[in-house]
Amino acid sequence: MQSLKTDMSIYKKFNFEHPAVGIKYTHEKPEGIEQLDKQLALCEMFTETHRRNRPFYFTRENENCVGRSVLGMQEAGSMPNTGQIGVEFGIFQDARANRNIYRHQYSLEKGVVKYVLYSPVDQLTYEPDLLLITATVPQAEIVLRAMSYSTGEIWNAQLTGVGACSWLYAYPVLTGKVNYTVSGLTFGMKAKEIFPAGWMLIAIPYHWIPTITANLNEMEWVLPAYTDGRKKFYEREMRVMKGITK
Amino acid sequence: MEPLQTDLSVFKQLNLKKPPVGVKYLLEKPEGVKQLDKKMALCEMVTETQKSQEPFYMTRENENCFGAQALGMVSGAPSAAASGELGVRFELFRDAEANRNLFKNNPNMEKGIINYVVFAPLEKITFEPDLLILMTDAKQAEITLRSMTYSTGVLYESMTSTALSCAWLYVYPYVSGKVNYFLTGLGFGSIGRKAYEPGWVLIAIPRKWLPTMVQNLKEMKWELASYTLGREEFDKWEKGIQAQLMRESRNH
Repeated sequence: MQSLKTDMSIYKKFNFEHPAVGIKYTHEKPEGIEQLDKQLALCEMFTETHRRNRPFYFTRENENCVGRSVLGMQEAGSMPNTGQIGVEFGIFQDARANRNIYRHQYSLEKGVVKYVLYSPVDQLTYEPDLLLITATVPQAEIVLRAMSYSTGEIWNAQLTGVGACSWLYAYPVLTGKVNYTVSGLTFGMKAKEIFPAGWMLIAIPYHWIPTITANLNEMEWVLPAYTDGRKKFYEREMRVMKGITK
Repeated sequence: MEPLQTDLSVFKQLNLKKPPVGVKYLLEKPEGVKQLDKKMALCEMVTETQKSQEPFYMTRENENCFGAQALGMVSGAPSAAASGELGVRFELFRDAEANRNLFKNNPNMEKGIINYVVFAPLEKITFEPDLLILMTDAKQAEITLRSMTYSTGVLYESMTSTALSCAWLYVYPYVSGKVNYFLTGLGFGSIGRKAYEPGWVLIAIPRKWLPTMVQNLKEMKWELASYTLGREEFDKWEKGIQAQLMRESRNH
């Protein structure tokens, strides 16, 4: 496992209520890190990291929902794919609608990941594959702006009403895109009472960690325009526009 | 303007803090609706509708940001913006190239198609809206978005950008036919203008999706049983349903 080289200390400056979590997918058993001692759904693992506030890893034996198949730790089996479960839960009108979501969802290649490591960002000892941030909207605005600050990238969030873990854990690392969602929108996390509604969950894959981290170090976090108030902002906007068109 | 035929009353049951807003794009001047009597940014027009509680229409003369350009009411962005310099001066972007990149991705309406935009709060919508914009909390958003996927299984896709979020709220759903949503408090101009309190979910439903979502909102359960069971009971219930389905599938 590649040891941590990126300076992640900038994330402390956010004073997140729940620490950012670094996640690593590995085929080999990690050394010096304890295994999770219970079974949880994949969507619960990051809140477990918040609770423990120390690193741990899990294997497929520790996961008791569809997360194992999302991470390629085992075959999904035919039952979810029939679409009948979503009908029984009242989420979908019929199996056809439920089956449709499987055309969109992402899974890691089977058999590649055997161990998944979680660590609060301030205790990271490895280069994470994924950084999972739980943020308020003003904090999320800063994180997402750090993605566009040097790139102009648009903010594109992908999600389905069920199987949200696929969008947070598989989609970002497979596509190399930052993804985000709002807690309270998806079935499993809501029913399992994983997180109160209204928090922004941002999944940053390793492709974007250097850019976002560097931009967080460089850019202004709270822009003057945000503290001007409405009237003064208009005046600022006019001043800036006139300055450029001179 | 085509008169309202869709029964939108089901949206009242969401008990939104502020009413949904119907939006109509027109080439010709609407009759029986007053023109907005001031200038503001396009992103502020939803809150203006919610405040005034009355329908109004706007023209390009009423818009004082980049909304008129997003709606194709005026020619392309002023050079100050298109060059990317504006975003640098606002400290939004590191350099002009990053800002220019935004313009490559942002959707715009075809120029000259829209001269008038009508806004009306739900109770006073008399036309088939091109867009229905909802401002919800996460719980209300869950129900609204689920009503899109309930009979279709489509995914929830949110598109927005640091600046010009008006294009993603007003233009993208209209031109793509896709429902879009994002949180207030993420977009530069609407933060600067204090257009919304941060943390609300703005959902823009294009006309294409209204019949499906209205029908599903009427049909589906809003508060699913599993949302009230609590974590442990839900785990048991979920396993029970899965086991039952396994048994049934073996019997077939």
